[in-house]
Amino acid sequence: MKTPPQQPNEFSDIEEVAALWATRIDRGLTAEEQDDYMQWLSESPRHREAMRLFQWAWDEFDRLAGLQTSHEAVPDPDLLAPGSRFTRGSKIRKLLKFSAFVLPTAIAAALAIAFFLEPDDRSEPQLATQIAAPSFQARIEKRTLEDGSQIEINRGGLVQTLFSSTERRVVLVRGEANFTVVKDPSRPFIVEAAGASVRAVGTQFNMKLGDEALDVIVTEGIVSVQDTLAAIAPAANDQLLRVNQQAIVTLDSGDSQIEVTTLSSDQIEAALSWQPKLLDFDSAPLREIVAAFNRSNSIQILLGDSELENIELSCAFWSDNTEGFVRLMESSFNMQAEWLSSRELILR
Amino acid sequence: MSPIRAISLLTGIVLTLLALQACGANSGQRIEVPSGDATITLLEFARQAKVEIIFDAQSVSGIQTQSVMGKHLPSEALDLMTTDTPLVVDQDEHTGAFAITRKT
Repeated sequence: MKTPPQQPNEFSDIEEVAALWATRIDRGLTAEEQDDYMQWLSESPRHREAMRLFQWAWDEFDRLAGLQTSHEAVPDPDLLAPGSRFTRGSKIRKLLKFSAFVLPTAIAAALAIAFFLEPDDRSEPQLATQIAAPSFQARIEKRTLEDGSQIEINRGGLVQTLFSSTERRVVLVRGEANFTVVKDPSRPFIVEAAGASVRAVGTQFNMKLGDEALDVIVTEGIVSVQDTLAAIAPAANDQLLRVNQQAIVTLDSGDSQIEVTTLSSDQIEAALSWQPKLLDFDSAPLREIVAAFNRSNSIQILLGDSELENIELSCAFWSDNTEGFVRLMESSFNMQAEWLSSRELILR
Repeated sequence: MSPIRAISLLTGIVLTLLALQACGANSGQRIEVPSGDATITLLEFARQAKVEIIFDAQSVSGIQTQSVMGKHLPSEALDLMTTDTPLVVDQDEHTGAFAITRKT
């Protein structure tokens, strides 16, 4: 029997490089290193994924650095160092050694149990033509960054944060996101997407990465847009974008262009309509509440009869939480939900 | 560093991170809602706790909820507010949203 050819150990190599970049980013990148780093990052989605994992791990280590014992006023950087008060005690050392064997054993046992309890559906392969059951859309992700800036990521979007001591760099890998940036002139906030970049100090803007263009809309403050990857310092050819202005950066040719237009408030509202709104109703008929959900979601809720339409409810609910709303209608208000199609459900 | 010491350290880190996460999840938040009519206090609670809530205004109108002052998880605070009232709290376990109804 032939042995299958060995795959190169590519993932280990990627991890190794990602780990190196994570440590460099932590100490701050030189301009040359930044170029190298962005080049490496853009070479493969696997590079970005590996960086995301290492950045997360690095952040967790930062949290550990702030650990302190309950009776010490300041964190002890040598808390876990060999010979420290913490590790010198024989009981603790024994406990650490003991846990080193118990924990892997427990994880292995849990995996084994999960494997044997998992219903074996391999004997009955799923039909390729089987229609997926209708389901609610995932909620829109809201993320607060370590500097207090906030990102709302539209469904299907993906962003990656790469903060260092000299800059706050974010990569919009795909989709759409809205950024509310906390002012910090010493650390510029730069968002990159498909080779273009947006720089902000303290402002609010929306970015949508499509196949052919990057769309940037400013709703507060000023940002500068570049059709190249930005360095820390602003460049002379930066395109300034002010409130209510939109920049469309074409990505489909080698010679990218930035087109700036001013939008009306209606156009801005339409462009940002994906963002969840707090639906705040005080004794409103259910039909009004449902209409508000329907305006913000592609999944539409229908009401089965006029009696339901006139039930008066008070609520404070985010417009992207159709799922929670419908489930509570069923569990607390004696209604029943039935999917009519993948985009329509009816409450009776 | 020997493999055993490295594994021990990693185990310690994992356990510490889990403990940190557990502490963070249970720390609660400051909620100050005085006693009053449920139609007002429930919305005020939702605003302070930054949670989602829905209730039938007519059926809860006239019911006085208890005062809540202190650091609580939202579900704890709601339980305190509705103690000794005919109000029932329901929570959607997937999204954390609350529904308040009156016992029938």
